[in-house]
Amino acid sequence: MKKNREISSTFRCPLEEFEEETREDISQLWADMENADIAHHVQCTDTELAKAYKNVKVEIASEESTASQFSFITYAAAAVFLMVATGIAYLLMPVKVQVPAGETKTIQMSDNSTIHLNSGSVLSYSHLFNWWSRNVRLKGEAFFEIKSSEHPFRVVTGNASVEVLGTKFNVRYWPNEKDNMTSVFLSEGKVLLQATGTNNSVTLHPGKQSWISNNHPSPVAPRPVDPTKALAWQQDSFAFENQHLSSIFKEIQRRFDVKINYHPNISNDKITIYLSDIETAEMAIKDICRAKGLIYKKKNDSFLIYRN
Amino acid sequence: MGSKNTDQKFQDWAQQIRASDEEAFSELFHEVYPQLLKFAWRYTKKKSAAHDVVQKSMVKLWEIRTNIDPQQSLKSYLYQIVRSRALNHIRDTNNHTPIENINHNRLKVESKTLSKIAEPEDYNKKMIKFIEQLPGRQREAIQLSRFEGFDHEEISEIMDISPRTVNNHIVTALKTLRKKWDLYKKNKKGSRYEEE
Repeated sequence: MKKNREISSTFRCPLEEFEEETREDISQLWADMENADIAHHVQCTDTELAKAYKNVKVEIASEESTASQFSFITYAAAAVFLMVATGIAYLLMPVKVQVPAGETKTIQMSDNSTIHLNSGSVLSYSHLFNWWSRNVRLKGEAFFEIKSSEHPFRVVTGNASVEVLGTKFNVRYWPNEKDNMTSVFLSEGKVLLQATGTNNSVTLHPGKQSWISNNHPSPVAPRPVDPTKALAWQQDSFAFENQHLSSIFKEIQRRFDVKINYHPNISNDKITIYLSDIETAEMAIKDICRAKGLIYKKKNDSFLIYRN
Repeated sequence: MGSKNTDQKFQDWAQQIRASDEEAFSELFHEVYPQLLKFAWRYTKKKSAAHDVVQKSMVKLWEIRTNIDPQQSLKSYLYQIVRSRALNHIRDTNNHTPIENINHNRLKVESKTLSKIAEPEDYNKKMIKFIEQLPGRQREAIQLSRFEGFDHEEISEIMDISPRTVNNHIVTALKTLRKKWDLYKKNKKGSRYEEE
């Protein structure tokens, strides 16, 4: 009995699973198994152990060198791929020139053309500009002085494109304003104005203006326009022709980076007015209010305009 | 296995090897290799194959060292690797023998193997034979329990079965062994009166 209890203390077999009267037999069986390990004779000599360790070290060393070679090549390939991909992504990503309200900007393109951007305009073009084409995308207003090159120069707006070789012209396209109008005035040379996705186009000659809008998807017949008025913004001036006050105020806000609040009952009033040498928003607003019999109040960079 | 000391030792090794400590790996290697060789031999029945299996398992352990779970028993984990490699070895050398049938194949080598074992007493050979005749999983479970000293929890990790199943395997194995053993002893008594 004493012996059995001793065995039980190191007993890992589930004695409690057996009926009580057989537990002693099972304990005895467990004890009898002591020398019944078929692998009992398997001994590892010191020499074998040393050799085994050496083998494993060699195996690990070779695995790790191939692993690190592999990973070096992988990393190198990944790095090259990443560089190429980044390069391509960079080249495909458009260059974006964004003019804040209250400022204008003149940029020089790689083909030596010059683009004057009006306040709040956005111009974008490819890093590959002038490699096999000269396309720019415009939201806003810009005056282009385009130098001749083997590739035509193309200005794309939301609904039109203007294609030129060498020339000077103005493009105006303010999305969501004036029925999405793209209007083009030509100073010098010759341009082709085409409605996007159509063959509807007109050729403009110097001093002429044409436009496309949602309601006029084909370019309207070019008509002569006073260059001072068509290019008023270039001379710090404004030229409005029968234009809603709401869109005029938007333009003033852009040009001078101010905030104009007005009573809704005046937003559909129209005005035809030419304002030259305007240096501040207040100068323009003062003139407009005087002409329309309106009152304005100024607080910092905010204006409130209403009818008395 | 068992004592708190060895458990702590293995836990430390697990931490160190995880951190690519080669010295700890060497210590572990020298500590467990002879046991693992014996363990692998129970499957392969060839010493060279057993060496091969254990060495590859140790290389494997080093390769996956960063994935060692410090919460899990490193020793069980190592036995688990060796067992799976040993089973693969048997499968590959026996041409797609399902694991459950391995027992059958083992019987062929048994007589040859048994004759090599220089045990003084008959009944050890008999007991060995009875154990070898057990179905594969029952045999594995009872060997791990009796000869390697693992508890049911550890055996369940090594064999990748639930502790409940481990228990069932061991209980069933013991019942079978007891029947055969009783019968054998009874016959032996009948033939040899001098034995008590």
